[in-house]
Amino acid sequence: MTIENSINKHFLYPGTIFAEPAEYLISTVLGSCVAVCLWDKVVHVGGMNHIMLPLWNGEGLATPKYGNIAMEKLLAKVISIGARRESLTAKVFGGANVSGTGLEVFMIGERNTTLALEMLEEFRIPILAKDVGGRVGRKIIMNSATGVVMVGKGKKTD
Amino acid sequence: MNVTDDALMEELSNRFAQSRKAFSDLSVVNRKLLEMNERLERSESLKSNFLSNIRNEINNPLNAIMGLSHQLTLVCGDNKEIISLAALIGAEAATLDFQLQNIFMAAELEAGEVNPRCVKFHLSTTLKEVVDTFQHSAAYKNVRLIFTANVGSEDVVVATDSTLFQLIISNLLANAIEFSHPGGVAEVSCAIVGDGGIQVTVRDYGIGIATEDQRRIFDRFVQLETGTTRSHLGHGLGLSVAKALVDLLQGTIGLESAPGTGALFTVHLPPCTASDDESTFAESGNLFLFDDMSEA
Repeated sequence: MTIENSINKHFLYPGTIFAEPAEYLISTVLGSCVAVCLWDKVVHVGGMNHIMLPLWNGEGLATPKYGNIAMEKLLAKVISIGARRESLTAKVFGGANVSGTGLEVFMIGERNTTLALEMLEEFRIPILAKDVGGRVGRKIIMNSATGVVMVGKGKKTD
Repeated sequence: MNVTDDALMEELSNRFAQSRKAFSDLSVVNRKLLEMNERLERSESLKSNFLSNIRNEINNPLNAIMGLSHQLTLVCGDNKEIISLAALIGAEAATLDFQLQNIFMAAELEAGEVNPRCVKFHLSTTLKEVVDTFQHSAAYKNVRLIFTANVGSEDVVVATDSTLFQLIISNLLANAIEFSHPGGVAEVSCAIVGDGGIQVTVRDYGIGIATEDQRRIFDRFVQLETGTTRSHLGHGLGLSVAKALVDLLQGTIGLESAPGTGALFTVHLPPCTASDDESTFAESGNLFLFDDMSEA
């Protein structure tokens, strides 16, 4: 896998958001976390979030580590860099059940995924691709100018 | 152990039914929470945008005040009165600067725009500098600060974001000083733990925190003593910023405390692992391409 060095790169930390007008390779590593890639198929800009937990419960800061905050903020951010809501498309990755337990309370991955998909439906943004669930972590790299996302699987992480 | 197919199927379908039930319950609760949060979020985002816009407009004049007050102490000769006034202006401006750093950091954290930059730095030296910036306010409250570096060498180099690290420790230290009794001590110590991570403890012997309140202290704008009679400074943002920063750096923050015995905060930060390298691909060799062109 060779990736051109001339393109800007950004490593997305859990709980953060990235969207810039320039072309970027945005990479992140996902276990039970979910990343949503929003991309405007007309304007060719996009961004990514990294959801760690489904809902902000009012404790601590309202950071985008929580899905409901992260989805709203990513949408606002891609629109602020020129994307148009009606031409946005989405790709959803992550949400693995890496701990391997079946206990509901611990199924963070599945709950993160459900929340992301529900909010995309609410935003009426079509989901072009998704690779969610399973038992292993993923590493993803999104090209913010082409909307192409590459996914590497098999590495167990949190 | 022998299990019949039927029994196994029944158990499985029971479990699936339970899962579905739990999920539908959850989604109802989720929906309610979402509605509750929506309005809150709207005002939140207004606030965040506002803060990131005015950041420079506040920081520049404040830096000028701090710089000029320092200049003033240098140029006014040996007029004691002016020197002490200028020093006071400087100290107050520095306090304001610290509060604003927290407010802006909270806004950036909530916007998801804090990107840790992994750098190598000397743990004990950096920590000593942070402790020294609080000597003034500690002396004012008659609290003695004790710093111990439990590291093999005085110059252990660690890798994490040093700016964020300093803000985390500053907030714990400010908290420790604020809630110490006059004449008390506050202790800061650091160590390198097994995984190469940093462990810093900040201990005070002040009023302490009851177990039932220990979760709440990391919330925003929470001071346990509320109302007009509250006797402590601060806006209740510091610990929530510290917690969110520790989360961002994938560390943990622990608290041991009981009323009357003070509080012990323990921060553990792993060595930072973020990287853009593609080595994780090589290990899996299992690549999928999600390309719009083929699906359009």
